[in-house]
Amino acid sequence: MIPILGLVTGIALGLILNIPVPALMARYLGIALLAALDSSFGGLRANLEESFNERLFIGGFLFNTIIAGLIVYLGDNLGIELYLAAVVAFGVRLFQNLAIIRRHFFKVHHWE
Amino acid sequence: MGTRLGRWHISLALVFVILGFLLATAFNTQRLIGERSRPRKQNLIDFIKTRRNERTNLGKELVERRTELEHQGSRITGSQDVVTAYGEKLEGLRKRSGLTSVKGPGLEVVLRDAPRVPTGADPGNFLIHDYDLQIIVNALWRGGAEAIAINGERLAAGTGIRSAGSAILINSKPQGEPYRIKAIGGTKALAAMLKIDNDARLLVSGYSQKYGLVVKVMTKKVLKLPPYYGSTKLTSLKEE
Repeated sequence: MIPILGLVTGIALGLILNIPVPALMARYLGIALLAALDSSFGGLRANLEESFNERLFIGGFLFNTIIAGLIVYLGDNLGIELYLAAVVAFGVRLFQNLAIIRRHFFKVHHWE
Repeated sequence: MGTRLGRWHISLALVFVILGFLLATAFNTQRLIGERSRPRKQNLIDFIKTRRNERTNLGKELVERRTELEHQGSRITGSQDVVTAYGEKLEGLRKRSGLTSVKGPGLEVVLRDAPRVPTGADPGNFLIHDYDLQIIVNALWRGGAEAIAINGERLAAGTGIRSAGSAILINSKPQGEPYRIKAIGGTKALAAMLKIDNDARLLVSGYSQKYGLVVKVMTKKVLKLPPYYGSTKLTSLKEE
């Protein structure tokens, strides 16, 4: 319930503040969004597995976001689409986490 | 480990807030970019169209006002014998200045780009350029033309014939082919000058054949030329 509440609050905040992001920064926004998605589902999974470590979670979120941003920046300057690497890495993890969360729900509700 | 609210960790909720915020911002940004890029061209086209209409209307109004002024002037000159001589001089100057619509016999020269450009050739040689129009116009003035208009743009004191990209600007208005140059004057003298003037002769009978440029010269009994629609405002000029 609380994660959904947080999500709704965030969306409302974003829509109300309506901060315009310049087109050049849109890529970085996308990467930040992916990092946030990855962390959220990772955290959700860890919470369901009762193995949630707050420090690890927050640290991972910040670290991943910063590194992803740096990779995009590096790629932009070298003329290589390095941001794709971040997209793929986050994307794969996202699906893995989703799969584990799904299994967890199956187990809890005895649908197996 | 960490602060909890029931089953869920607070930090998890915090990251979800960030996630939601980023989602909304990305959504807004994407919508903004889409909005901006698509109708931008259309906006520009509309802007140009409205401004063009505005200019045409203003030009017409200007001519109306000038005619009105002329009527007022002629009323004064009619009532006062003393200024009649000046009035006649003014009338002559007005006709020459291009501020009134005029008619008379003259020559019409039509110029068109070459219909085909052979592969590998320099396409510039097969187009009518601003200097081609200048050559013809200069030859016509030389031949005693009293008034000239190109595509309905009367040539007056401030007129320029110059290219901007692929268009030729006459009185700062873009024109495309065919270019119709109408000149009022002695038809024989005008036609003769197109053959005497070296540049004009080369263009009319030399380059046109060589590159396939279409140059047609026609004698007309009655040509009607519109007035100059542009501004005649002088800011720096003072009479000596």
